[in-house]
Amino acid sequence: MPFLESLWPPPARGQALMPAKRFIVLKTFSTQLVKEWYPASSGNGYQLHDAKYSDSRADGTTLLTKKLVAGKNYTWAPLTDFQTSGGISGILGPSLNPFLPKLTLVRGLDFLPAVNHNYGGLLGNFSSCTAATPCDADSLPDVPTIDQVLAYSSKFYASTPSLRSLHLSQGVTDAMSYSNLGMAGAQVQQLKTRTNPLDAFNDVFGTNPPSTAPGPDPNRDKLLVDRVHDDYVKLKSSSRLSADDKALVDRYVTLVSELQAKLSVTPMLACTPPATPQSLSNNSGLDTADITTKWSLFLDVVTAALMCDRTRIVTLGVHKALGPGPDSSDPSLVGFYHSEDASGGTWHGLAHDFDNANSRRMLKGINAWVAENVFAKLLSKLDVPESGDSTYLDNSLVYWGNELGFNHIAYSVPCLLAGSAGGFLKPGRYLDYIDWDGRAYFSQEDGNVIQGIPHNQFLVTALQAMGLAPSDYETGGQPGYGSTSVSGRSSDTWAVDYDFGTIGEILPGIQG
Amino acid sequence: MHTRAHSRALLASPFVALLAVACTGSIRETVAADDDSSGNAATSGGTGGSATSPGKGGTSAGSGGTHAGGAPGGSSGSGGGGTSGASGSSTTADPGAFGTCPSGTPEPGVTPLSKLSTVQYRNTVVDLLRASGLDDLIESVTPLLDAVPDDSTQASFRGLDKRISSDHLGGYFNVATTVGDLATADPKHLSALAGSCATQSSLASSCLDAFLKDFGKLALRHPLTSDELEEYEDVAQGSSPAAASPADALRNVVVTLLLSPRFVNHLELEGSPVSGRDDYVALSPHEIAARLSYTFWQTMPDAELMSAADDGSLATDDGFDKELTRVFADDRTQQTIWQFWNEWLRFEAFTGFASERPAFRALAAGEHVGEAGHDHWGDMVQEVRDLTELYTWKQSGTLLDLLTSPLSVTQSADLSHLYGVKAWSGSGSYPTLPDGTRSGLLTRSALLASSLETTNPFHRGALVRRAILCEDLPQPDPTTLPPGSLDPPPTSETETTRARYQAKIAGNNLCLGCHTTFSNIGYTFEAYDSLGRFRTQEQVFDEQTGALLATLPIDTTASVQIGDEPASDVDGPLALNQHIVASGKVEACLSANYFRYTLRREPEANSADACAFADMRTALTTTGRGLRDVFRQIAAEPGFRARKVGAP
Repeated sequence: MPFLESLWPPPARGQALMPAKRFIVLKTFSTQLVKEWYPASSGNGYQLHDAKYSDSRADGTTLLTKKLVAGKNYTWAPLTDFQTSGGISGILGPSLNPFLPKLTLVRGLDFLPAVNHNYGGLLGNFSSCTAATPCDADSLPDVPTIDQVLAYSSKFYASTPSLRSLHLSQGVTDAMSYSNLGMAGAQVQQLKTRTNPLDAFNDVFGTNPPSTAPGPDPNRDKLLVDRVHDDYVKLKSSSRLSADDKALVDRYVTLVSELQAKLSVTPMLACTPPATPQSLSNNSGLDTADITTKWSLFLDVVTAALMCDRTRIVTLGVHKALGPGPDSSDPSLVGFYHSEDASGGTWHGLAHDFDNANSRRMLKGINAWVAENVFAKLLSKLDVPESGDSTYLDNSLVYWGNELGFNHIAYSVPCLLAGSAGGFLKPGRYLDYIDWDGRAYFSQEDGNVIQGIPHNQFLVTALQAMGLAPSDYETGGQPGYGSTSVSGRSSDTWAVDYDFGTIGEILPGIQG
Repeated sequence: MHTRAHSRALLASPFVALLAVACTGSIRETVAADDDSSGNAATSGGTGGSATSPGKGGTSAGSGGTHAGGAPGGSSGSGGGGTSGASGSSTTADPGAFGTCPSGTPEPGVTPLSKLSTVQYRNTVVDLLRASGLDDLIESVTPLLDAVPDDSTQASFRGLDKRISSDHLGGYFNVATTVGDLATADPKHLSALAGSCATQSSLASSCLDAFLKDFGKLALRHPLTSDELEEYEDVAQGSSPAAASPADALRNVVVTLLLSPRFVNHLELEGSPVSGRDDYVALSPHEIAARLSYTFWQTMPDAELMSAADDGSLATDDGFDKELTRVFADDRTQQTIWQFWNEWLRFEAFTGFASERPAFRALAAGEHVGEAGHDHWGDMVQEVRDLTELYTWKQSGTLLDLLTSPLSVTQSADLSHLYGVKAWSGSGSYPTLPDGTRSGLLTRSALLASSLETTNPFHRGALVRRAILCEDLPQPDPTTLPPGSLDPPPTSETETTRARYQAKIAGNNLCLGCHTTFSNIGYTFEAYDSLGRFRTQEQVFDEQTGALLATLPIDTTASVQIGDEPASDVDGPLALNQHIVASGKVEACLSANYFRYTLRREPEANSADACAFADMRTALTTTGRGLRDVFRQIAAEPGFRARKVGAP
């Protein structure tokens, strides 16, 4: 059962002068329906794109009018302008209304590399297409996702944390994150997720209480691991190891160090650990109660992990959710699993069937469920006082991203942010980086390929919001983060001529 | 090391230039009921699926995972299939990567430092417990072994996945501490571990030394050096940590040994320099013992190997040959060789038959394939295992025998019914497959079946090009394709599957340039339905109801080019098989893959690796030696007993 909130630590626990910043990522998959994701309101003085355009740019969503920055056709609006009793859009429903002043809805972030279904695109590793859907970007070198840049940054973690990052999902054990363990030039590996709340809990709070048996040094295993660490360090001096071999040894040294750190931590000095959750090891079913319970337990673990400062980085792969079934007259919800199975009726299949009204209804329902039952609930748990007037949410950057943009195209990839990262961002706004007077290359149901802004600038924004400077993440003399390759995209069909001169800058106007 | 006189140029890949055209690979999105079966990974999170269960079956070369996903090459069915040819991941190996075998005494390629594969690690822990008289602990340790991440077949063979992660370290730690705790928890286990002296109130130095020379040697796979003895004596008797009892002292040593870099990795640092070089060494006898056992058994050396290493005989040609013969004849080698076929042909990627689909049930009417309660995919895979083992172990068969065998070796009543033969009884002569229906490995159902009621000729063709012929098919860039390019062609009452797929790419030169190299191969396999059943007509079913919509004549003729020969017209899979066999490309492909699988590394061009490859390939030709000899040959190569160190 979910943890009892009464067991949570009191808000006065964190006494640091500067509250820690945290980066939490929630990822959904395939398509977000443009008209259901973004406001489509013509009230409150707004009009739809349809009123201005007669071509494919007339997409049924709200036309923003306030200029965001000088010299660009970027626009913005206060999110509260679109607030109704039903929320601000079909998917971003009423459960998010209390948080509108703390949200930033961003439109027009384009993945530059040509990706298909992928793992790490939303966090900057575009060469991460799935095996079933290889893509042009696969030829790019793997780079660490930005959460892992943070995880190994001494600016983000001044000392080795007990857990650099926590990765959770239901149904899929491949994480969206890729890491080189903080070793520049080292092999980049995809991380794995925890799919059982108990495993996640154990990662965060440890598996076993200290031994009560008399005699043995309670610290003995840490001391034994220290010896193993020394063995690896000594091994590096062998003349019969190549540079590549030594890089592997370095990797061991890092991992053993992390094991040492884990064994060194004095449990729970700062907060009371929550109750151990039940084990839910089934990772393949679609039982609605199982999915719901697991998400609830996951959010409890996440919240406790963040509040107890066991980790400051969390990713949540939302491969499973509830949504309405195919019979529109049946109000009950059923379980959905987004896998690579694109057959009819599956979450993925619905996303491929975007011109079918019933499929759209179901797809909207799934994402609305995620908004209410995962995203909003997470925000509720985090929006409690931490220090002074700020809440944990205020000091965090919560990023709801998506695998792809509309209709399986890597353009205008959804991005909903919560929190201000300790005042770095100015939230409460809907920012639109699409130049609506620009060329509409082609359109599909609800979606038009019109040039926006490189998603790379969001990556930069997130990295800097978490306290890093360009020198902390830029490599090879290249500004910004993440590939800017548009290889394989024809300029006849796609927008490719971005302003690469600003690729290393944060999103214009996002700080207000 | 004996002298080489090879100077053989290897086959170039005549298709490379042609294939360098977009629009070939698979965008079909495969069914994956539970996406990850590999479980490998990096620094955080899940433990992934489990692999072998050492406690149940003892040592095993098997891999983890379940049958999941698609026909070999990853071409599982999806909700309609895709239109492009290739499968997801592949085990494509480039025979051209070996270059030419130099004359003289060439050096082998670089052997990088690597961890034990997860299968090897699990087997090693289990065998260490057995060798130490601690068999009864295996059951308790097995769940922890299972929690160590499986190696992935995502891009290649499991053994080539050498990534390590915090989950590995965490898994090793849990295993080490649990073994340490359990093995020292009571006098019975302590006595088994270190003798009755370990149950005394204090730990005598002689007791500790004997333990280190025995258990320490087993764990580290060599007699402990004086430095190592000193190190582990300090673990037991020093102050960091201070042991509270003899049991605690031995426990700490066990934990440290099982976490040692020398336990979890293949560390080969003790050999003798060749020509005074520190970057090229002849392996020590104990390192040779470990190479032999891990290559063919996937586990630590047994007592006989260690004995041959101890007395130095393993370092002699005769002594090595004797042990190689013994090791190769062991059942564990058969498991290792089967796992090679299993991973090469990607059988673990199958996701299961879509028997819930009305159209699938309609197709399978009269057969039992896909029905609940029996693993028919398992029957299909077992048939391939039985066939390969027939020509490898029961008979001194050749690759040609395997590729052209008319025998039905399955004991499955349902599979033999699908083939139209009687099931083999388990003894006596094998039934012969009906004339004109099948010939050899490539026409067995495990290489033909897919999840759905319809075939995908693109996938079948790509499997042959990629996995069997080792040709590199580039993946298409979906973003350059017109919308809808990757959607499956809809079922038609008037068109066969072949016609529908042909129409999908007709007139599109971007696609045709590459598709013609493999699609035509797939068309010849239209002689089999998606169950792998031979047919002369194609039945078209309504997807929703399973109603028979049409029965259409199939066309299995195609113009196919294999190897260096010009394109020629073939009719049906048997004629195609003849071309494939005659091309000699399967020999090269098998040799390249077997090298990578057994040695767990990529070849180095123009080194002794090229000679090993050439030896295997030559031996596999129709006039060459049997499969068994070829599989053994890899260890008889001089480079097997040496290690080349990479650039500092």
